Amino acid sequence: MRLHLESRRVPAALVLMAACGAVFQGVLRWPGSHGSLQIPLIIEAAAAAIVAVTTHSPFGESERATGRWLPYLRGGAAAGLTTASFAALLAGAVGANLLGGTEALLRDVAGMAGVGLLSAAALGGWLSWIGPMAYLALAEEALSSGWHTPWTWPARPPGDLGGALCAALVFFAGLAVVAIRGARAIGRE
Amino acid sequence: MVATSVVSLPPRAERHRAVPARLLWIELRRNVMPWLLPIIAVVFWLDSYRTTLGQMSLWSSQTAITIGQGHPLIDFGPFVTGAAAWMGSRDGRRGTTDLVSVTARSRWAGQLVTWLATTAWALAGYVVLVGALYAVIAGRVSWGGPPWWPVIAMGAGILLFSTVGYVAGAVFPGRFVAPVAAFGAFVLLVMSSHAGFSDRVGAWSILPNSGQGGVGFGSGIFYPFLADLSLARLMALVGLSTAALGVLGLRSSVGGLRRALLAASVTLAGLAVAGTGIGLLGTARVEAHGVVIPLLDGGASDRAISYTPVCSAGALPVCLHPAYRSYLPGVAADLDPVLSEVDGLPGAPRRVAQVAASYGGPSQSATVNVTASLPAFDLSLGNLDFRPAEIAGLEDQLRFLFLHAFVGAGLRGGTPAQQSVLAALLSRVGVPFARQPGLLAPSSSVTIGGNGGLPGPPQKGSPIYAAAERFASQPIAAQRAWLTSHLTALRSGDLTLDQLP
Amino acid sequence: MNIDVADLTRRFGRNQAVAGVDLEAGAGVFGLLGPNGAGKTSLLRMMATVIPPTSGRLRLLGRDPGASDERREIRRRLGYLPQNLGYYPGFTVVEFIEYFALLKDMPPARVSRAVATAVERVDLGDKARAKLRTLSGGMLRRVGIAQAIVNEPELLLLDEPTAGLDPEQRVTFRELLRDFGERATVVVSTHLVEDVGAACSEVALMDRGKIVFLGTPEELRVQGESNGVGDSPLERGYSAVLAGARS
Repeated sequence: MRLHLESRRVPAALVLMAACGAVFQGVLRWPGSHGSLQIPLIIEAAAAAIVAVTTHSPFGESERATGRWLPYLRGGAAAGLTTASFAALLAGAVGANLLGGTEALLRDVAGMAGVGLLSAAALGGWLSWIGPMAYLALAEEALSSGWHTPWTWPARPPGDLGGALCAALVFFAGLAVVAIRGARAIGRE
Repeated sequence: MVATSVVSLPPRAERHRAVPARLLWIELRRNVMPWLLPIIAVVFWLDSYRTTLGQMSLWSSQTAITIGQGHPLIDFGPFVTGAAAWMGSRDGRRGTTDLVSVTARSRWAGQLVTWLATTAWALAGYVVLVGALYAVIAGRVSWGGPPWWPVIAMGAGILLFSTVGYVAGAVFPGRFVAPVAAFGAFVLLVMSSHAGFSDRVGAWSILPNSGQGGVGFGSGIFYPFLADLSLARLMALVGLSTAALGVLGLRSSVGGLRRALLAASVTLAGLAVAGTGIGLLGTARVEAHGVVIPLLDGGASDRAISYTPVCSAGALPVCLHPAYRSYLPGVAADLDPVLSEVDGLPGAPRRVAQVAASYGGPSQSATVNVTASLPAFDLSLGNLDFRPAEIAGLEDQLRFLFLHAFVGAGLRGGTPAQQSVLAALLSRVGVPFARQPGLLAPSSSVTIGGNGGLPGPPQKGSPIYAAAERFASQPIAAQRAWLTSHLTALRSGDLTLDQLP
Repeated sequence: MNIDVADLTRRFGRNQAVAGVDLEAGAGVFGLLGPNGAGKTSLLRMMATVIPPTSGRLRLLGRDPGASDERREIRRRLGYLPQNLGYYPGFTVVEFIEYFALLKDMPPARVSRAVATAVERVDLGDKARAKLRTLSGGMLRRVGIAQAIVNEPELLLLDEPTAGLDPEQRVTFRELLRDFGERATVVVSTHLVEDVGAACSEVALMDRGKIVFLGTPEELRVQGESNGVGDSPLERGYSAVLAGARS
């Protein structure tokens, strides 16, 4: 387990997530962002992208022949890191005005981590940040345009069931794909 | 024994001539940036393109928000930074650092070619998308020309994000560098946007998505698009990009004094240009025609664009700038009832003329404003929107503003007597009492002196409302007679509700 | 001498990878043998101007790699295959080799011919337009060799060049080495003593950062006649020298 996590640079990812938490605290307290859902959402997407990028395996094909534990290791690492990113952001929100509250934070982080994991399966771990970034751009547009589809869950109210279900669906789909298949082996240059 | 070279080398100049072009071609073919351009194009369409087409068909209106607030930079910046960081980290990721560092061509030169290819793709995508946007706008507007300087400044912004991303990737070639750079750029851009609304000439103004970019609703119509802000930004952004490339050279020039000196010179030159630009930005001030930087302005901000207004037919013409020609019938029809209503009264307008919207004034966000210096009425249409969905209520608002100016309420909500007479007159020109309270709602597109929060038409049951009903119930002849004799006192604010008939 | 090394050392922190090496080599194929961690790769990287020595004298092709102008001239005449070949998966074989030919400052007019020749020499003509990500490990190794030889180097440094090559390719490669050795200095670092026996005119054996044997393959073979361990005479010579150095 430890070696698997180290091979995925999980310790460095945890440091970055702590940094995300600190930045989250900073932007929530920044007077210019008061009342804004946009800036906190970027930090949430960044944390999700870090989860996705850790799926890159440095071992390539040789790892695929290492037995039945690999899917559990991959899935556990992704789920654990998503939890860590949520915890880091939650800690970063202490004492600050978090619009949407804990519920929306959990929904947004988990959903975007799911987008990142699906992106890792399609583009490879190295380039998997593109998925959360593209989704973030879409979500920011949904926020400013008042779109109501549950697939753009960050624009839905915190207690909205449709948004929560879509986010959960995407997260578990991403988790399953990455656990079973892993991130795509080769990224485009 | 020293072996003889089988490759006899031609003169140095000849060797160098075609090499970068060929290297650049390979790098262009194998770059990740073009693969991201379709995603950027979708984001651009969702954000910049749709925002633009929601505006009035004038170059200033179509570009004030999209280009002035740097939407394309926000659409491009994060993806470009991430992709550039990815390309910058290539040798570190792929384990080719040893191979590329022992070639005769310097490491810096090789990196510059990769950076150039990456940046060229980003800028090409930017030029194509903004070019397409401008082509669409050009097909919709019939007067004036586009603002170019903010577009160039935004191009410099993309250059900076690409450069910083590339250098970050080259210096920290790990798996996290691309996402950290991309999302970091996004945070920076959105913070700059947010800060720009409250502080148009502050520290955040260095990025071209901060504030209005000098594009006001009167820009390019009543006065030229001012280049000051864009020029200073251009200097700052290009300077910072150059300095970043110099730093890359310093890192790659270990052991080579001449190359290190060159890289240091590039860094210092970049910093000097950037410092000049930032210094100039520090002297910027918001004026009526845009953001002015005295050292760069050269009097451009005071120059007006001459034009011959287009006027409606009739005894009391409504005159608009020719750029607004297509809106003239609508505006004239909206004002016709009020002009007829006040015709013959003291201080009645002899002409209603459009004036420029003030860039720096509090009405910058407003669309319509009317001020009166009797008997001239100045109509500022700003970002007037005549689309069917938006026009509902606009005629009421125009009439309200006109009469508000006519009774002399000025920049204030008006005295109780002025508010009563205003409400009564409004009811006579087709705006019944029931519709009046919403005319100055915070979401209204009109302002009085730029402040939409002033007390507006009276609420039912108030003394002002009762007086207004009483005045409105008078015969028309009696109303006009009273107005003829009391308008001067009413305008000066000397009358009380009890003095109304 | 194309390689002139005297009392060369290289430290990585507290670890001394190369501990006082003296070496001279002219045209020909020079084999560098030794167990894992003996310092072969560090020595080769210093000769490839990747890393500077900690101390000692290093002159390559009659020039000082410590001086930037001279280092540039050395690099223009250098071919280097690192132990772990990095590559750009999205590049084709031709693009990758051309890319390095251009970085090596080859005259542009000669690049395409030189690339074609290099591709043919490593027998990758039918894969010339294939993306590197589609190639097998052995083919990638041949691409690495091709980029090393594309500029017809006067000093060719190859670190484990035959790793992953099939027997047929290995034989072809040895011919290539002999051919280059007639006009350039070729240094081959390897674990495979049969490569040394077949292609090298001189061989050095390194252990713990030092050269413990320097001579011809025949002389190494003789070392193992009495007490060496191994399947071939060269292997026996190799093990005998190492045993002697460690005793």
